[in-house]
Amino acid sequence: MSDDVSDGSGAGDKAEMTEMPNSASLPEDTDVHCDLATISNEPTPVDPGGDVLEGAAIQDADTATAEHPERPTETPLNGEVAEDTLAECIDSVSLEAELGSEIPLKEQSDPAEGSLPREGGWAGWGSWGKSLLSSASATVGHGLTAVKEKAGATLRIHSVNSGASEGPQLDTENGVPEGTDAAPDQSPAKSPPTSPSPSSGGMLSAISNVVQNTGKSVLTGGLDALEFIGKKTMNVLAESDPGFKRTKTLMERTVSLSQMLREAKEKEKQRLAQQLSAERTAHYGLLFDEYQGLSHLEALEILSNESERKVQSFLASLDGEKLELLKSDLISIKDVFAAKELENEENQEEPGFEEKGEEFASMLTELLFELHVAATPDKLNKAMKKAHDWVKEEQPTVSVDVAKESKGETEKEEQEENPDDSQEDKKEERATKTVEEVYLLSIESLAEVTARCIEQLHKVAELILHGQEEEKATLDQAKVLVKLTTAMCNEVASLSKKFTNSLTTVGSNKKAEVLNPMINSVLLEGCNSTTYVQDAFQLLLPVLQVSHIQTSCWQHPTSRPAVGNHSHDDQTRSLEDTAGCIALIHALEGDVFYASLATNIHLRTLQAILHSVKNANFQRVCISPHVYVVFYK
Amino acid sequence: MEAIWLYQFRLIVIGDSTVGKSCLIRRFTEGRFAQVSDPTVGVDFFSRLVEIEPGKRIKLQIWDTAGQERFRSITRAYYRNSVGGLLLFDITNRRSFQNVHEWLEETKVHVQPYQIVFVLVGHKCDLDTQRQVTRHEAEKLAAAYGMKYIETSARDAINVEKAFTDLTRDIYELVKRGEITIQEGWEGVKSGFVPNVVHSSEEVVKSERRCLC
Repeated sequence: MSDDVSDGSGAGDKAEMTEMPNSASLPEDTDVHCDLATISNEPTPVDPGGDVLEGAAIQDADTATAEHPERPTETPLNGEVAEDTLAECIDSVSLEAELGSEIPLKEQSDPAEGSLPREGGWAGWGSWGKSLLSSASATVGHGLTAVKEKAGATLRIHSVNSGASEGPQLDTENGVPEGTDAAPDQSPAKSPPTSPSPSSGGMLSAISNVVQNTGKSVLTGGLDALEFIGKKTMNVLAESDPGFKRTKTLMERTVSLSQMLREAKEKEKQRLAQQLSAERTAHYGLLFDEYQGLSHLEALEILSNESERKVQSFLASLDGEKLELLKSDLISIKDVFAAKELENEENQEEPGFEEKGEEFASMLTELLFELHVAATPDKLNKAMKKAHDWVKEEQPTVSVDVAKESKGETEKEEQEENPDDSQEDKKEERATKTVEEVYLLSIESLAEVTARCIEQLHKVAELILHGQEEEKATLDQAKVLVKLTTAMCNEVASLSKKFTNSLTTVGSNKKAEVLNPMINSVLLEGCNSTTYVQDAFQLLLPVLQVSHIQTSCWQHPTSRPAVGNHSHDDQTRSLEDTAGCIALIHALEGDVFYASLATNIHLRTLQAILHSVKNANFQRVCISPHVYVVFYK
Repeated sequence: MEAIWLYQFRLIVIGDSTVGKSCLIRRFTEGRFAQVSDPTVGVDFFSRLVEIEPGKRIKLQIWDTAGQERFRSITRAYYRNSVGGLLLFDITNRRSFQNVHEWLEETKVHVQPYQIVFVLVGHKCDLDTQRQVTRHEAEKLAAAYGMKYIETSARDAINVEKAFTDLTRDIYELVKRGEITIQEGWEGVKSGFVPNVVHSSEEVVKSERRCLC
């Protein structure tokens, strides 16, 4: 008997499985519940293994919500605000205070017509990851539905636009640049394409022009172009592009980012397996996983969720002034993250967009140094360099090629003479890259670089959590992290721009049907890439908040948490991490206490705690390498 | 391009720092031995396919954890989603052997409600002259915890394949017998898929809890 996956049922099962919103598969259910409790007053499922503190956290948070004067004005959840609600999910976790200020800003981008709705609609994607992560299914489901409607509306607007303004001009080449006008407002302000574009590539240059904007405008531009090209292409794209699937999937699922990407990857693989003899094509999702991007993202989610839980339970253990003080600290950290998000949504233009690879490398090193974490950017730098190198080497070829083309030599085979391929394994073949090769390299580079960015953020999270010797103020770390993320996104955007330029020139003699899907796919994956990086960045918020609690609170005796109803019987508890230390503080009110803790973090933390309860009368503190035993009389 | 696999098993590699976890994994996944290796920060990831029977491939996703004490609070957050684990000690470092018990206790607490199939690995067996832990006592300890014991060397490529594939086989058997099941929300075992051509009638998924909502 075997339990191998049979083909028929295997495929079927797979599909069913992925259709199912499996919120249960979030790494830490408990955090999710905690968060939800602040948004809706639904009964909160209590994690069987969860400790009492979490229950308390929920209650506290509820109370806080109820007390808050600003909340009621936000509560009506009509379609307009739904998207904000989505973003709000995490925000309201414990730190409701500044929500009010955030909302109006976001709503400004929500008018019902013009090109703004497009921005608004897509802007929602930027924050979905973290929202999904930290809020439970019911509320998110609501938010997502609204987003979905909005997205639908947006797409309809697109088709109207393209039908009206671009339709008549379809047959002439002049009509092509119109596609650019349909793009978001800022695009006309951009400079004309710098790369030489053969006339047959007019449309492509128009698209790549749009690409000079980062993030959402790229996507919007891409979509405009898609509408322009037609629905058929759209479908083809949807078929061949996991990234696009992600966008679609987004409307239907409530799972974590890594989960969703994993599913997209699985589907893609499934599809691939079915077309066995198909020639090699680019699959962002598979490549992203191959570079361990998914794993790093998942591990980062685990850390983020766990940190969130710790923040909640610590907040629950505080009250009065101490709670307010800590809350305002945590809120100021959060504000930095929220500001970054707003910036993502509103201002796509970044200075230094055209950075060179080396500049990025040194900036990265500098920023990591500023963070005071011992993270090394080697892997990311290497990936970036690799990407910049091959596309740079494409450029000379491209100009030669264009020159030739202008002389009427249109054969692709004549694009020779390009320098050695930078891909180490291809050193010997001096052949020119075909459009397909450039496309494959583009997708692979985007996947690799993005995976490395996420790995970098994951490493930063680990190092922040484990606690460096020389601590830097968490708020400052948050600001540096914003810079770091911005630099990464700019770099990714710059890469994807270079890739499309390269595609446009190398493939200038290709038919639009062949080239356009490739270009759009690169645009889309480039845009998705920056979104992944930004989502990963948002996962760092609870990590920084925990770090703040660890470094600041326990060093001040004043922030010693109030003690709840604890029995004065002898207590024996096995503790872990921060949550364990909180329990320790509680337990210290008992007569005798036994704590088994591991790791160095606890030595410091423990000392801080012991300091904070120094009026207490300790009989003995016995510390062995892995076990601290505290007897308290 | 990613090959086709039947299952994906997530394995975690733990043990004191400097026992050679990363080197063992690199030998297994990259086929080479790094003379110099930086200490792992938090966790790193590797993957490789293993063919346990002709045509039956299993993808191993290996989580390489930092052995350093200072990362312990982070790395234990990662235990939960693993189906199998290699618990390493260095045969030339008695302390690392004495800590095996502690590692087991720690994982036991943090993987619940799931279980991890462990294999005890005495690493650096090429340094037999500096041996501080006898094979006999290691086997005894392993048996006490119901683990297999194997001695490996990443430098000389001794038993590296065997350590991973034996563990993979054991897990595969448990999965086949239904003692380990694929569960939503648990990443330890994932089922892959088989393309049409490879399809055979005996390959029937024995999955549970896949409701069709």
